[in-house]
Amino acid sequence: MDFSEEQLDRYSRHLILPGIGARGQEKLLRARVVIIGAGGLGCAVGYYLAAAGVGTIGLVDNDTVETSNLQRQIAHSMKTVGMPKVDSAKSTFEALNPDVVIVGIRERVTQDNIQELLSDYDIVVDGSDNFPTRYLVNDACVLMKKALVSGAILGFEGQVTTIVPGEGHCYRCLFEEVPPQGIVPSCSQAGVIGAITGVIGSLQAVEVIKLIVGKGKVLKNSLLTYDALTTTFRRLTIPTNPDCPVCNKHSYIKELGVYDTQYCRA
Amino acid sequence: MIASADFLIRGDKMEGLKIYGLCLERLRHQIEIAKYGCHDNRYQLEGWVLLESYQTNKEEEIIDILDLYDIEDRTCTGVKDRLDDLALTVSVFARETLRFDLTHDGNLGLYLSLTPIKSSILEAA
Repeated sequence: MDFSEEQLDRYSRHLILPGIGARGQEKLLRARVVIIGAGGLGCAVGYYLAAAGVGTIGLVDNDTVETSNLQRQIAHSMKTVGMPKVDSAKSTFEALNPDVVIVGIRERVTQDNIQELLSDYDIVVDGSDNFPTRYLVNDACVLMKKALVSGAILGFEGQVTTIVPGEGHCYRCLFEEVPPQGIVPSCSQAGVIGAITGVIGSLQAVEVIKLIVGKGKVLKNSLLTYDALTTTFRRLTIPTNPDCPVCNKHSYIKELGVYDTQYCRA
Repeated sequence: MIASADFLIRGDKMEGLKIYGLCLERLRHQIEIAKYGCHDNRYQLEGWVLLESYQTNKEEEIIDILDLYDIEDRTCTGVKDRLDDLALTVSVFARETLRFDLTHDGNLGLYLSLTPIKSSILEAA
């Protein structure tokens, strides 16, 4: 693959970087990544993946931009309030890097459509804001053997983990069942520091880039937590659960069941 | 034959730029010299001209000379793979075809293809 003059300039910091180079940039340009959620995390991840030249980025979200989103969802603006988030983010990312194809999918992820939504992509990024979707995405990725980079934020804290089916833990190894409704508040209920989405979203983007270029060690069997109040990162080892209901050899979840994705919204 | 116009135009941007241990500015001059003045068969190998020899074929010495310190697989295969990646990257910057190969003396060398390459600009995938 030849690089145009503009691409040489645009990606020069990748090209000269040990471990990426021309071959790594080619991999990035040919990669296909889907982001679940065009909210705080999705905007941050999408921004950096688009800037990095990830060739095709799918964006799945059913919401429209609201003014209260703008404190943390950096791909949207006052001009796009009222617009579908996928359209708003698509125009932002395409303006940043015309090399990148952004596929906006204005749908809510459900057990009925998720396998079709993920099927065209190599890597899945979870930037969703509710537990049922998080478990649905995890289970679909395990069953479809797709790498998943999962992030979550709330208040002054965030966490990120990378799940490579067959090579380590999955989300259910960590938290086996969906917590009951109302136990864990959402960002709209408990608040969140906007910049946390940038911290965790950037970490997710780096994990995706490492998966694509095959460089370094991703957060397999690990959960990285960030506490903004004490400025503390902690890397917790997460063993694979031998009794995991989805990723274990004797798992009982063999197909996607019912996930109540309606009870919690952005 | 003259050096690639693209490469010369970009010269100012490449001042001081190194990819691993390869200085692109030095490489630019080497390519110019090779294209203008190399008529010595000792430095040519079936359409390829030797730009520089590293006077060794030992993996650890090659890693030191070319600053391949992040390499994990330090075997012959691992070093060869990394050299292939490096050659590809500098080829992209130089708009030329470069490769690492053994010299007549059995040492590692960096070669430039004397065969004109296509100058077309392909779109990203």
